[in-house]
Amino acid sequence: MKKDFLIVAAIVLFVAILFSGTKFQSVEQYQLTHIDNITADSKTVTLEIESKSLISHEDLLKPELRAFVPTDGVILEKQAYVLREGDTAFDLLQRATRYHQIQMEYQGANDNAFKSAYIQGINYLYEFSAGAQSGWMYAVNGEFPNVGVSRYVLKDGDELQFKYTTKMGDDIGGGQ
Amino acid sequence: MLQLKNSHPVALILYYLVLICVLTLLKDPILLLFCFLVMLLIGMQYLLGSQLVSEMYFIVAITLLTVITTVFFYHNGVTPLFYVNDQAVTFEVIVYAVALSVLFGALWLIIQLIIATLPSSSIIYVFTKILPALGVFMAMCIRFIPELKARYQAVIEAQNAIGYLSSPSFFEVMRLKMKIALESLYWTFEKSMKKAMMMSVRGFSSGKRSSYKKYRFQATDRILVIMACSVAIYYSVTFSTSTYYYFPALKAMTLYREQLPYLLLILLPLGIEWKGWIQWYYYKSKM
Repeated sequence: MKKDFLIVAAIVLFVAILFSGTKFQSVEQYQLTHIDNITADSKTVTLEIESKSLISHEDLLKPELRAFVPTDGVILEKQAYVLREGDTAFDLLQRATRYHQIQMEYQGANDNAFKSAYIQGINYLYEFSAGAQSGWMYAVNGEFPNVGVSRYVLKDGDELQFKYTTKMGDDIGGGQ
Repeated sequence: MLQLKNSHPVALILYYLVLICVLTLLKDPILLLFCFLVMLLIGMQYLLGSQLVSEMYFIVAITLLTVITTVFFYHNGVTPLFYVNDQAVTFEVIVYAVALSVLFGALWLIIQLIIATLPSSSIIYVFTKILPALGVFMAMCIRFIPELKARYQAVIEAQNAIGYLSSPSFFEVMRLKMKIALESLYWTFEKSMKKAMMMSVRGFSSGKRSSYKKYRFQATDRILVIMACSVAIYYSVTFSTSTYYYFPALKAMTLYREQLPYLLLILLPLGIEWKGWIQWYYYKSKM
Protein backbone atom coordinates (compact mmCIF):
# COMPACT_ATOMS: atom_id res chain seq x y z
CA MET A 1 0.00 0.00 0.00
CA LYS A 2 2.90 2.32 0.78
CA LYS A 3 4.23 1.63 -2.68
CA ASP A 4 0.82 2.52 -4.19
CA PHE A 5 0.80 5.82 -2.33
CA LEU A 6 4.29 6.67 -3.59
CA ILE A 7 3.33 5.88 -7.19
CA VAL A 8 0.16 8.01 -6.98
CA ALA A 9 2.20 10.88 -5.47
CA ALA A 10 4.75 10.59 -8.27
CA ILE A 11 1.99 10.71 -10.92
CA VAL A 12 0.38 13.76 -9.27
CA LEU A 13 3.78 15.49 -9.13
CA PHE A 14 4.45 14.72 -12.79
CA VAL A 15 1.06 16.12 -13.86
CA ALA A 16 1.60 19.21 -11.70
CA ILE A 17 5.02 19.85 -13.27
CA LEU A 18 3.57 19.31 -16.74
CA PHE A 19 0.75 21.78 -16.20
CA SER A 20 2.85 24.34 -14.34
CA GLY A 21 4.74 24.92 -17.60
CA THR A 22 1.50 25.25 -19.55
CA LYS A 23 -0.07 28.66 -20.05
CA PHE A 24 -3.85 28.69 -20.32
CA GLN A 25 -5.55 31.86 -21.62
CA SER A 26 -9.08 32.79 -22.56
CA VAL A 27 -9.68 34.22 -26.04
CA GLU A 28 -10.04 37.73 -24.56
CA GLN A 29 -6.81 37.41 -22.57
CA TYR A 30 -4.94 36.18 -25.62
CA GLN A 31 -6.14 39.00 -27.84
CA LEU A 32 -5.34 41.72 -25.27
CA THR A 33 -1.95 42.46 -26.79
CA HIS A 34 -0.32 45.79 -26.31
CA ILE A 35 1.16 47.41 -29.40
CA ASP A 36 3.50 50.24 -28.37
CA ASN A 37 2.65 53.71 -29.62
CA ILE A 38 5.14 55.08 -32.10
CA THR A 39 6.91 58.18 -30.79
CA ALA A 40 9.57 60.42 -32.34
CA ASP A 41 12.44 58.40 -30.87
CA SER A 42 10.90 54.94 -31.46
CA LYS A 43 12.73 52.38 -33.56
CA THR A 44 10.27 50.95 -36.06
CA VAL A 45 9.88 48.15 -38.57
CA THR A 46 7.11 47.52 -41.07
CA LEU A 47 5.18 44.31 -41.53
CA GLU A 48 3.02 43.07 -44.37
CA ILE A 49 1.32 39.69 -44.80
CA GLU A 50 0.13 38.73 -48.26
CA SER A 51 -1.03 35.79 -50.33
CA LYS A 52 -0.97 37.43 -53.78
CA SER A 53 0.46 34.25 -55.31
CA LEU A 54 -2.94 32.65 -54.84
CA ILE A 55 -4.84 35.27 -56.82
CA SER A 56 -5.80 33.73 -60.15
CA HIS A 57 -4.49 30.40 -58.78
CA GLU A 58 -7.35 29.76 -56.41
CA ASP A 59 -8.05 26.44 -58.12
CA LEU A 60 -4.99 25.14 -56.24
CA LEU A 61 -6.92 25.52 -53.00
CA LYS A 62 -9.73 23.35 -51.71
CA PRO A 63 -13.11 25.14 -52.12
CA GLU A 64 -13.54 25.64 -48.38
CA LEU A 65 -10.28 27.65 -48.21
CA ARG A 66 -10.93 30.05 -51.08
CA ALA A 67 -12.97 32.39 -48.88
CA PHE A 68 -9.85 33.08 -46.82
CA VAL A 69 -7.88 34.59 -49.69
CA PRO A 70 -8.59 38.35 -49.76
CA THR A 71 -9.54 39.77 -53.17
CA ASP A 72 -6.30 41.79 -53.36
CA GLY A 73 -4.29 39.06 -51.62
CA VAL A 74 -3.30 41.32 -48.72
CA ILE A 75 -4.02 39.77 -45.31
CA LEU A 76 -2.34 42.54 -43.30
CA GLU A 77 -1.51 45.81 -44.99
CA LYS A 78 1.98 47.26 -44.64
CA GLN A 79 2.12 48.98 -41.30
CA ALA A 80 4.82 50.28 -38.93
CA TYR A 81 5.35 48.73 -35.50
CA VAL A 82 7.61 49.69 -32.63
CA LEU A 83 10.73 47.54 -32.52
CA ARG A 84 11.47 46.19 -29.06
CA GLU A 85 14.96 45.20 -27.93
CA GLY A 86 15.94 41.82 -29.41
CA ASP A 87 12.75 41.43 -31.44
CA THR A 88 12.93 38.66 -34.03
CA ALA A 89 10.79 38.43 -37.18
CA PHE A 90 8.68 35.84 -35.37
CA ASP A 91 8.13 38.05 -32.31
CA LEU A 92 6.79 40.85 -34.47
CA LEU A 93 4.59 38.53 -36.50
CA GLN A 94 3.11 36.99 -33.36
CA ARG A 95 2.46 40.41 -31.78
CA ALA A 96 0.80 41.78 -34.92
CA THR A 97 -1.37 38.73 -35.62
CA ARG A 98 -2.57 38.66 -32.03
CA TYR A 99 -3.35 42.36 -32.08
CA HIS A 100 -5.20 42.22 -35.42
CA GLN A 101 -6.86 38.88 -34.53
CA ILE A 102 -5.41 37.07 -37.51
CA GLN A 103 -5.15 33.31 -37.07
CA MET A 104 -1.59 31.98 -36.97
CA GLU A 105 -0.23 28.54 -36.16
CA TYR A 106 3.42 27.70 -35.72
CA GLN A 107 5.73 24.95 -34.66
CA GLY A 108 7.83 25.91 -31.66
CA ALA A 109 11.60 26.28 -31.89
CA ASN A 110 12.13 23.24 -29.66
CA ASP A 111 9.96 21.04 -31.86
CA ASN A 112 12.21 20.90 -34.93
CA ALA A 113 15.84 20.31 -35.87
CA PHE A 114 16.40 23.93 -36.99
CA LYS A 115 15.88 25.38 -33.50
CA SER A 116 13.63 28.05 -34.98
CA ALA A 117 9.88 28.59 -34.99
CA TYR A 118 8.22 27.47 -38.22
CA ILE A 119 5.12 29.20 -39.56
CA GLN A 120 2.59 26.51 -40.46
CA GLY A 121 -0.41 28.66 -41.32
CA ILE A 122 -1.65 32.25 -41.35
CA ASN A 123 -5.31 33.18 -41.87
CA TYR A 124 -6.16 29.45 -42.29
CA LEU A 125 -3.82 29.13 -45.30
CA TYR A 126 -1.42 26.37 -44.33
CA GLU A 127 1.68 24.77 -45.75
CA PHE A 128 0.61 22.36 -48.55
CA SER A 129 -2.85 24.03 -48.76
CA ALA A 130 -2.07 24.90 -52.39
CA GLY A 131 0.03 21.92 -53.38
CA ALA A 132 3.19 20.15 -52.28
CA GLN A 133 5.42 23.22 -52.80
CA SER A 134 3.24 25.74 -51.00
CA GLY A 135 3.78 27.47 -47.66
CA TRP A 136 4.85 30.69 -45.97
CA MET A 137 8.18 32.48 -46.55
CA TYR A 138 9.47 35.73 -45.17
CA ALA A 139 11.53 38.52 -46.67
CA VAL A 140 13.39 41.39 -44.99
CA ASN A 141 14.03 44.43 -47.18
CA GLY A 142 13.16 42.31 -50.24
CA GLU A 143 15.70 39.58 -49.44
CA PHE A 144 14.79 36.08 -48.25
CA PRO A 145 17.06 35.29 -45.26
CA ASN A 146 18.47 31.81 -45.00
CA VAL A 147 17.71 31.46 -41.29
CA GLY A 148 14.60 30.51 -39.37
CA VAL A 149 12.03 33.19 -38.61
CA SER A 150 12.67 33.21 -34.84
CA ARG A 151 16.44 33.48 -35.34
CA TYR A 152 16.39 36.61 -37.46
CA VAL A 153 16.85 39.65 -35.22
CA LEU A 154 15.26 42.77 -36.70
CA LYS A 155 16.86 46.19 -36.77
CA ASP A 156 15.51 49.71 -37.05
CA GLY A 157 13.89 50.46 -40.43
CA ASP A 158 13.59 46.86 -41.62
CA GLU A 159 10.70 46.02 -43.94
CA LEU A 160 9.35 42.58 -43.06
CA GLN A 161 7.02 40.69 -45.39
CA PHE A 162 5.36 37.29 -45.05
CA LYS A 163 4.40 35.86 -48.43
CA TYR A 164 2.53 32.74 -49.41
CA THR A 165 4.27 30.72 -52.11
CA THR A 166 2.89 27.93 -54.27
CA LYS A 167 6.24 27.04 -55.93
CA MET A 168 8.86 26.90 -53.17
CA GLY A 169 9.46 30.63 -53.51
CA ASP A 170 9.92 30.78 -57.31
CA ASP A 171 6.65 32.69 -57.75
CA ILE A 172 7.51 35.34 -55.16
CA GLY A 173 11.19 35.91 -55.98
CA GLY A 174 12.52 33.71 -53.20
CA GLY A 175 13.56 30.62 -55.15
CA GLN A 176 16.90 28.95 -54.48
CA MET B 1 -30.38 -17.61 -37.28
CA LEU B 2 -27.34 -15.48 -38.00
CA GLN B 3 -27.51 -14.64 -41.67
CA LEU B 4 -24.41 -12.50 -42.01
CA LYS B 5 -22.25 -15.34 -40.76
CA ASN B 6 -23.67 -17.59 -43.46
CA SER B 7 -22.93 -15.16 -46.28
CA HIS B 8 -20.39 -15.97 -48.96
CA PRO B 9 -16.87 -14.88 -47.87
CA VAL B 10 -16.22 -13.06 -51.19
CA ALA B 11 -19.34 -10.93 -50.68
CA LEU B 12 -18.46 -10.24 -47.04
CA ILE B 13 -14.84 -9.30 -47.76
CA LEU B 14 -15.93 -6.96 -50.58
CA TYR B 15 -18.59 -5.40 -48.37
CA TYR B 16 -16.26 -4.82 -45.41
CA LEU B 17 -13.55 -3.44 -47.67
CA VAL B 18 -15.87 -0.89 -49.32
CA LEU B 19 -17.46 0.06 -45.98
CA ILE B 20 -14.09 0.68 -44.28
CA CYS B 21 -12.72 2.67 -47.25
CA VAL B 22 -15.84 4.82 -47.67
CA LEU B 23 -16.13 5.62 -43.95
CA THR B 24 -12.45 6.53 -43.66
CA LEU B 25 -12.46 8.70 -46.78
CA LEU B 26 -15.78 10.47 -46.20
CA LYS B 27 -15.19 11.26 -42.50
CA ASP B 28 -18.78 12.51 -42.30
CA PRO B 29 -19.70 12.72 -38.59
CA ILE B 30 -23.38 11.80 -39.11
CA LEU B 31 -22.52 8.75 -41.20
CA LEU B 32 -19.83 7.76 -38.70
CA LEU B 33 -22.23 7.96 -35.77
CA PHE B 34 -24.89 6.12 -37.73
CA CYS B 35 -22.44 3.37 -38.67
CA PHE B 36 -21.23 3.12 -35.06
CA LEU B 37 -24.81 2.62 -33.81
CA VAL B 38 -25.65 0.10 -36.53
CA MET B 39 -22.46 -1.88 -35.82
CA LEU B 40 -23.31 -1.79 -32.12
CA LEU B 41 -26.76 -3.25 -32.87
CA ILE B 42 -25.25 -6.01 -35.00
CA GLY B 43 -22.50 -6.53 -32.44
CA MET B 44 -25.16 -7.26 -29.82
CA GLN B 45 -26.08 -10.38 -31.77
CA TYR B 46 -22.55 -11.64 -32.34
CA LEU B 47 -20.72 -10.62 -29.17
CA LEU B 48 -21.41 -11.52 -25.57
CA GLY B 49 -22.78 -8.73 -23.36
CA SER B 50 -19.63 -8.60 -21.21
CA GLN B 51 -17.44 -8.60 -24.32
CA LEU B 52 -19.41 -5.71 -25.79
CA VAL B 53 -19.15 -3.75 -22.54
CA SER B 54 -15.37 -4.25 -22.43
CA GLU B 55 -15.13 -3.10 -26.08
CA MET B 56 -17.13 0.01 -25.14
CA TYR B 57 -14.76 0.77 -22.24
CA PHE B 58 -11.87 0.50 -24.66
CA ILE B 59 -13.57 2.82 -27.19
CA VAL B 60 -14.37 5.42 -24.50
CA ALA B 61 -10.75 5.33 -23.27
CA ILE B 62 -9.47 5.80 -26.82
CA THR B 63 -11.95 8.68 -27.33
CA LEU B 64 -10.64 10.54 -24.29
CA LEU B 65 -7.04 9.94 -25.31
CA THR B 66 -7.71 11.10 -28.89
CA VAL B 67 -9.47 14.30 -27.77
CA ILE B 68 -6.74 15.20 -25.27
CA THR B 69 -3.87 14.56 -27.67
CA THR B 70 -5.51 16.10 -30.75
CA VAL B 71 -6.10 19.48 -29.10
CA PHE B 72 -2.37 19.73 -28.46
CA PHE B 73 -1.41 19.01 -32.06
CA TYR B 74 -4.12 20.70 -34.17
CA HIS B 75 -4.84 24.40 -33.84
CA ASN B 76 -6.77 25.08 -37.02
CA GLY B 77 -10.39 26.31 -36.88
CA VAL B 78 -12.34 29.55 -36.86
CA THR B 79 -13.83 29.18 -33.35
CA PRO B 80 -11.11 29.42 -30.69
CA LEU B 81 -12.33 28.34 -27.25
CA PHE B 82 -9.15 29.08 -25.30
CA TYR B 83 -5.40 29.17 -25.80
CA VAL B 84 -2.72 26.79 -24.49
CA ASN B 85 0.83 28.11 -24.75
CA ASP B 86 -0.31 30.73 -27.31
CA GLN B 87 -1.86 28.07 -29.55
CA ALA B 88 -5.62 27.96 -30.06
CA VAL B 89 -7.81 25.09 -28.91
CA THR B 90 -10.76 25.36 -31.27
CA PHE B 91 -14.27 23.96 -31.41
CA GLU B 92 -13.50 22.47 -34.84
CA VAL B 93 -10.54 20.52 -33.46
CA ILE B 94 -12.67 19.06 -30.66
CA VAL B 95 -15.40 18.03 -33.12
CA TYR B 96 -12.70 16.55 -35.38
CA ALA B 97 -11.20 14.60 -32.46
CA VAL B 98 -14.60 13.25 -31.41
CA ALA B 99 -15.40 12.29 -35.03
CA LEU B 100 -12.03 10.51 -35.28
CA SER B 101 -12.88 8.60 -32.12
CA VAL B 102 -16.30 7.63 -33.49
CA LEU B 103 -14.56 6.50 -36.67
CA PHE B 104 -12.16 4.45 -34.57
CA GLY B 105 -15.07 2.99 -32.58
CA ALA B 106 -16.98 2.09 -35.76
CA LEU B 107 -13.88 0.51 -37.31
CA TRP B 108 -13.18 -1.39 -34.11
CA LEU B 109 -16.72 -2.80 -34.08
CA ILE B 110 -16.42 -3.67 -37.79
CA ILE B 111 -13.21 -5.57 -36.99
CA GLN B 112 -15.02 -7.44 -34.21
CA LEU B 113 -17.74 -8.28 -36.72
CA ILE B 114 -15.14 -9.45 -39.25
CA ILE B 115 -13.62 -11.71 -36.59
CA ALA B 116 -17.08 -13.10 -35.76
CA THR B 117 -18.29 -13.59 -39.33
CA LEU B 118 -15.13 -14.45 -41.26
CA PRO B 119 -13.22 -17.43 -39.88
CA SER B 120 -9.66 -18.06 -41.12
CA SER B 121 -10.85 -20.86 -43.39
CA SER B 122 -13.13 -18.43 -45.29
CA ILE B 123 -10.30 -15.98 -45.91
CA ILE B 124 -7.94 -18.71 -47.05
CA TYR B 125 -10.72 -20.09 -49.27
CA VAL B 126 -11.14 -16.71 -51.00
CA PHE B 127 -7.46 -16.00 -51.54
CA THR B 128 -6.19 -19.51 -52.36
CA LYS B 129 -6.70 -19.05 -56.09
CA ILE B 130 -5.49 -15.45 -56.36
CA LEU B 131 -2.94 -14.57 -53.67
CA PRO B 132 -2.53 -17.52 -51.30
CA ALA B 133 0.29 -15.95 -49.27
CA LEU B 134 -1.81 -12.82 -48.69
CA GLY B 135 -4.75 -15.00 -47.65
CA VAL B 136 -2.68 -16.82 -45.06
CA PHE B 137 -1.25 -13.52 -43.81
CA MET B 138 -4.71 -11.91 -43.53
CA ALA B 139 -6.11 -14.94 -41.71
CA MET B 140 -3.20 -14.68 -39.25
CA CYS B 141 -3.81 -10.96 -38.71
CA ILE B 142 -7.53 -11.36 -38.13
CA ARG B 143 -7.05 -14.27 -35.74
CA PHE B 144 -4.21 -12.55 -33.84
CA ILE B 145 -6.30 -10.44 -31.43
CA PRO B 146 -8.82 -13.20 -30.48
CA GLU B 147 -5.93 -15.64 -29.95
CA LEU B 148 -4.13 -13.09 -27.80
CA LYS B 149 -7.25 -12.40 -25.74
CA ALA B 150 -7.95 -16.09 -25.22
CA ARG B 151 -4.36 -16.80 -24.16
CA TYR B 152 -4.31 -13.82 -21.78
CA GLN B 153 -7.61 -14.88 -20.21
CA ALA B 154 -6.45 -18.47 -19.78
CA VAL B 155 -3.15 -17.45 -18.14
CA ILE B 156 -4.83 -14.89 -15.89
CA GLU B 157 -7.36 -17.47 -14.67
CA ALA B 158 -4.63 -20.05 -14.03
CA GLN B 159 -2.37 -17.55 -12.22
CA ASN B 160 -5.29 -16.24 -10.17
CA ALA B 161 -6.05 -19.76 -9.03
CA ILE B 162 -2.51 -20.26 -7.67
CA GLY B 163 -2.46 -16.87 -5.95
CA TYR B 164 -0.01 -15.10 -8.27
CA LEU B 165 -2.16 -11.94 -8.34
CA SER B 166 -3.01 -11.82 -4.65
CA SER B 167 -0.82 -8.80 -3.81
CA PRO B 168 -2.68 -6.03 -1.90
CA SER B 169 -0.93 -3.40 -4.03
CA PHE B 170 -2.96 -2.29 -7.06
CA PHE B 171 0.16 -1.27 -8.99
CA GLU B 172 1.88 -4.58 -8.23
CA VAL B 173 -1.14 -6.45 -9.66
CA MET B 174 -1.04 -4.18 -12.70
CA ARG B 175 2.68 -4.91 -13.18
CA LEU B 176 2.08 -8.66 -12.99
CA LYS B 177 -0.85 -8.42 -15.40
CA MET B 178 1.34 -6.44 -17.78
CA LYS B 179 3.95 -9.18 -17.55
CA ILE B 180 1.30 -11.78 -18.42
CA ALA B 181 0.03 -9.61 -21.30
CA LEU B 182 3.55 -9.36 -22.70
CA GLU B 183 4.08 -13.10 -22.39
CA SER B 184 0.71 -13.69 -24.14
CA LEU B 185 1.78 -11.35 -26.93
CA TYR B 186 5.05 -13.25 -27.52
CA TRP B 187 3.24 -16.59 -27.33
CA THR B 188 0.55 -15.54 -29.84
CA PHE B 189 3.13 -14.08 -32.18
CA GLU B 190 5.17 -17.25 -32.08
CA LYS B 191 2.04 -19.35 -32.61
CA SER B 192 1.09 -17.27 -35.65
CA MET B 193 4.55 -17.65 -37.15
CA LYS B 194 4.54 -21.40 -36.52
CA LYS B 195 1.06 -21.74 -37.98
CA ALA B 196 2.06 -19.75 -41.07
CA MET B 197 5.07 -22.02 -41.56
CA MET B 198 2.95 -25.14 -41.05
CA MET B 199 0.39 -23.94 -43.57
CA SER B 200 3.14 -23.12 -46.03
CA VAL B 201 4.62 -26.63 -45.59
CA ARG B 202 1.19 -28.16 -46.15
CA GLY B 203 0.94 -26.33 -49.44
CA PHE B 204 -1.57 -23.60 -48.61
CA SER B 205 0.70 -20.88 -50.03
CA SER B 206 1.33 -22.76 -53.30
CA GLY B 207 -2.06 -21.86 -54.72
CA LYS B 208 -2.64 -25.47 -55.75
CA ARG B 209 -4.40 -26.55 -52.62
CA SER B 210 -8.06 -25.84 -52.01
CA SER B 211 -9.76 -25.81 -48.63
CA TYR B 212 -12.53 -28.12 -49.93
CA LYS B 213 -15.15 -25.87 -48.48
CA LYS B 214 -18.34 -25.25 -50.39
CA TYR B 215 -20.02 -21.88 -50.26
CA ARG B 216 -23.21 -21.07 -52.09
CA PHE B 217 -23.68 -17.64 -53.59
CA GLN B 218 -27.15 -16.72 -52.35
CA ALA B 219 -29.46 -13.80 -53.11
CA THR B 220 -28.24 -11.82 -50.06
CA ASP B 221 -24.66 -12.25 -51.26
CA ARG B 222 -25.59 -10.86 -54.64
CA ILE B 223 -27.21 -7.86 -52.92
CA LEU B 224 -24.07 -7.34 -50.82
CA VAL B 225 -21.81 -7.40 -53.88
CA ILE B 226 -24.06 -5.16 -56.01
CA MET B 227 -24.44 -2.66 -53.16
CA ALA B 228 -20.70 -2.57 -52.38
CA CYS B 229 -19.74 -2.12 -56.04
CA SER B 230 -22.43 0.53 -56.65
CA VAL B 231 -21.37 2.58 -53.61
CA ALA B 232 -17.69 2.31 -54.60
CA ILE B 233 -18.52 3.66 -58.08
CA TYR B 234 -20.85 6.32 -56.63
CA TYR B 235 -18.12 7.49 -54.25
CA SER B 236 -15.49 7.65 -56.98
CA VAL B 237 -17.82 9.92 -59.01
CA THR B 238 -19.00 12.19 -56.17
CA PHE B 239 -16.04 12.19 -53.74
CA SER B 240 -15.19 15.87 -54.26
CA THR B 241 -18.61 17.05 -53.08
CA SER B 242 -19.46 14.32 -50.59
CA THR B 243 -16.24 14.37 -48.54
CA TYR B 244 -16.76 16.15 -45.25
CA TYR B 245 -14.34 18.84 -44.05
CA TYR B 246 -13.67 20.14 -40.53
CA PHE B 247 -11.28 23.01 -41.22
CA PRO B 248 -11.21 25.96 -41.18
CA ALA B 249 -14.98 25.92 -40.54
CA LEU B 250 -17.17 22.84 -40.13
CA LYS B 251 -19.23 21.82 -43.15
CA ALA B 252 -22.95 21.86 -42.32
CA MET B 253 -23.93 18.71 -40.43
CA THR B 254 -27.09 17.66 -42.21
CA LEU B 255 -28.40 14.57 -43.89
CA TYR B 256 -29.00 15.10 -47.58
CA ARG B 257 -30.24 12.92 -50.41
CA GLU B 258 -26.75 12.30 -51.81
CA GLN B 259 -25.87 10.38 -48.63
CA LEU B 260 -28.63 7.82 -49.13
CA PRO B 261 -26.41 5.19 -50.84
CA TYR B 262 -23.97 5.33 -47.91
CA LEU B 263 -26.80 4.97 -45.40
CA LEU B 264 -28.11 1.95 -47.29
CA LEU B 265 -24.64 0.42 -47.39
CA ILE B 266 -24.32 0.81 -43.60
CA LEU B 267 -27.84 -0.52 -42.98
CA LEU B 268 -27.49 -3.54 -45.27
CA PRO B 269 -26.04 -6.06 -42.75
CA LEU B 270 -28.72 -5.07 -40.24
CA GLY B 271 -31.36 -5.71 -42.90
CA ILE B 272 -29.83 -9.12 -43.64
CA GLU B 273 -29.83 -9.96 -39.93
CA TRP B 274 -33.45 -8.86 -39.51
CA LYS B 275 -34.44 -10.86 -42.56
CA GLY B 276 -32.87 -13.88 -40.85
CA TRP B 277 -34.77 -13.23 -37.63
CA ILE B 278 -38.10 -12.75 -39.41
CA GLN B 279 -37.55 -15.93 -41.42
CA TRP B 280 -36.72 -17.82 -38.23
CA TYR B 281 -39.83 -16.49 -36.51
CA TYR B 282 -42.12 -17.69 -39.30
CA TYR B 283 -40.39 -21.07 -39.50
CA LYS B 284 -41.17 -21.52 -35.84
CA SER B 285 -44.77 -20.41 -36.13
CA LYS B 286 -45.47 -22.99 -38.86
CA MET B 287 -44.22 -25.91 -36.79
